[in-house]
Amino acid sequence: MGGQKAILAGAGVVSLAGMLLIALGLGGILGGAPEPDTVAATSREPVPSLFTGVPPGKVAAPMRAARPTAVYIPSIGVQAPLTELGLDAEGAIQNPPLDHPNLAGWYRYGPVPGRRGAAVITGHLDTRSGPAVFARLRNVKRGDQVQVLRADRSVAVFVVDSVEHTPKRSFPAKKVYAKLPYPGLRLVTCGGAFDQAAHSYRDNTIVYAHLAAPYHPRS
Amino acid sequence: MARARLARARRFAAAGAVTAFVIAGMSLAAGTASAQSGPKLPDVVPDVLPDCLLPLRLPLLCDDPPEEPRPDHHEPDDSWTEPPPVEHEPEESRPGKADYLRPWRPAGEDEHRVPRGHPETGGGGLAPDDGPAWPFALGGVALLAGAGLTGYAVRRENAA
Repeated sequence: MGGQKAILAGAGVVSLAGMLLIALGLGGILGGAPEPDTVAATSREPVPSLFTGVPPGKVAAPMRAARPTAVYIPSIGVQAPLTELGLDAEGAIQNPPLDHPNLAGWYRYGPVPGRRGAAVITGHLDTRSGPAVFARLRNVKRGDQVQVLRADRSVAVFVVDSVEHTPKRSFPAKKVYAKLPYPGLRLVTCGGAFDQAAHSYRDNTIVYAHLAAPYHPRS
Repeated sequence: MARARLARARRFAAAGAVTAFVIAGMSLAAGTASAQSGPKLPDVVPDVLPDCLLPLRLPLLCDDPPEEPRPDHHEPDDSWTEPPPVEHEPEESRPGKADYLRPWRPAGEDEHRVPRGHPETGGGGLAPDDGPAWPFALGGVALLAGAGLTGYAVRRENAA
């Protein structure tokens, strides 16, 4: 009889241990590791503000060419310097360096932001360890402002027309790099689920915008 | 007495089986949810944007110059000149120096290129971590062992 009780007690203990282990595994999945705060430093700086009086539906005339130096997206708190991106040996667009999470890149073999055509700015969604400059790009909405600062102190103020999430295998290159009759802007980053085997996100998030107002400081 | 113990053992085994099914269902649901959801984003942006609408420390008053260039203005698309070449110095010994010296100019339309493929702009740092699988395997084995022990106890009770 004592052996019977011992066996039943052992069964209870072993079953309880099993449940605890499974709960531990679930906790690991649901909780996850704390995220590094790599771009949070930007939130301590003044948040870029909106330009008033910008007609969202109006397409402004092209601006003069000037080197783009920074991009601001007030609605998601982005304020990032810009670097120039070219093409790699395989003809793909270069990516901004991963070791500068708050750096976005402007594609130099396309129109300058503010000039006629589709200017393209890309930025990382995240680095290997935490969020990057365009971590919240998917939260941008139609009508939001995107401001591109230029070396001549002018600001090209774009207004978002649409946001698209598309699989990378069907990336709409013709639409993104389109020859537009007006000054346009595309912001591109990664999105969707992360393919651990390919170490790549499966989708791209693309923001389409048009130039709504060119601003030039009175000097 | 023996029947009561047997019934209790059966209830215990049934409760264990139900618990195992519930936990397995929760595991599947959690796994599906984490696979479908996108990366978790940090809350780095204040919810309330300032009402101040002055942009970027620029002067409030702005004017829009005409698109047509002034007579003394040189459009960078067509009027940049190359810097004088560096003499007596092989180019490969100073990589990038020519680019550094050359004034910036935008690419002309004839230089525009459509890149191949798509931008790769993610390192995976925000991707949900699947976590280790060993707690589930070990926990499953322990539950099976518990059920086996319970069954053994019941059989032994019956035999007695």
